[in-house]
Amino acid sequence: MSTPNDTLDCGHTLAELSTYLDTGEFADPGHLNQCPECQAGLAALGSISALGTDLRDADIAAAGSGTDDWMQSILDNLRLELRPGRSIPVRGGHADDILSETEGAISAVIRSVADALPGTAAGKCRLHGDVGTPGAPVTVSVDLAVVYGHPLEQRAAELRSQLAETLSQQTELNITSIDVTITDILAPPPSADRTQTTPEEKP
Amino acid sequence: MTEPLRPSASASDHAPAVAPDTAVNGVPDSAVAGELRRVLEQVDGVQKLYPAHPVWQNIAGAAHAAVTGEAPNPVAVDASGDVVTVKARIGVATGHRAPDVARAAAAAVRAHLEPRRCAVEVAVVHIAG
Repeated sequence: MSTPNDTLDCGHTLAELSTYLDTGEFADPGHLNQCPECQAGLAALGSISALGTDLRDADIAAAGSGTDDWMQSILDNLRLELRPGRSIPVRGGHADDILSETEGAISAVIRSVADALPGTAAGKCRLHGDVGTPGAPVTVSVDLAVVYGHPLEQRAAELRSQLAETLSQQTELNITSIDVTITDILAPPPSADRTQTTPEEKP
Repeated sequence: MTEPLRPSASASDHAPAVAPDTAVNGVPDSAVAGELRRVLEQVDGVQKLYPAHPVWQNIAGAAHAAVTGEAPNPVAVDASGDVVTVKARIGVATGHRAPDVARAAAAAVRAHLEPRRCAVEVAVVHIAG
């Protein structure tokens, strides 16, 4: 998998993480166990890799963007999201306590929910608004690539529903809207079973 | 004229009016950090502890880790002042509500250090299955 050679805050790169997934080799293996951003990166790259494997024999030029720009876009956004980002406050049980979540942790949750849907891969995942102020309105935007044959509106609705539930559990943010944009439609492998969608699901 | 030397102060001269009954009193921060690490690891939903200060921001910690092969204690403790400050970065298992786990983690630290006054900083930096 080719990745942009961008360096994360910890000094490592997506390319290094990708190599680690492919080969198990990493210059500083102990670091992976200590760095939440690298762990989130490995999880996201693993999901992308799985989808990429499903699509590797496909003629992507036959549908969708016509190039692998979608993959590059995902990786570019992943680089930005694999940073701690802003601090999101959490109500404390004591006045002297300071509790928080990192924006990077929440972005990773959003991405994992999107990637868990069948035939989808999350592109850009963003929190908009003043996440540092409790109660301030926050909107979520997610760009999604969907494999051809999967029902677009249904996937978007599922994602919106699951994100609303997950974010209400995992954050105290005042989420006012969740905007899902289908940015790419990906061609499935020629031999893929087009009946991977359920009979009720219509593209 | 010389004055006789006063007897050197004993440890008891510096003891507080109330005998210390917390782990912080007289115990190095590093030892307290070790105790708090075990306390935090037992909090339901805490999946992992990450270095309170990322290693790449902590040259001393990185050097120690390089020499000894041991990862520095992830919990940062400073008991030098009147208020014991504790910082921890945690990973939360997805089956738990991260805000609740953060509060439970802070409460566990606070309970362990009682009756010392403390300020607990807990950041959720990773949520995963």
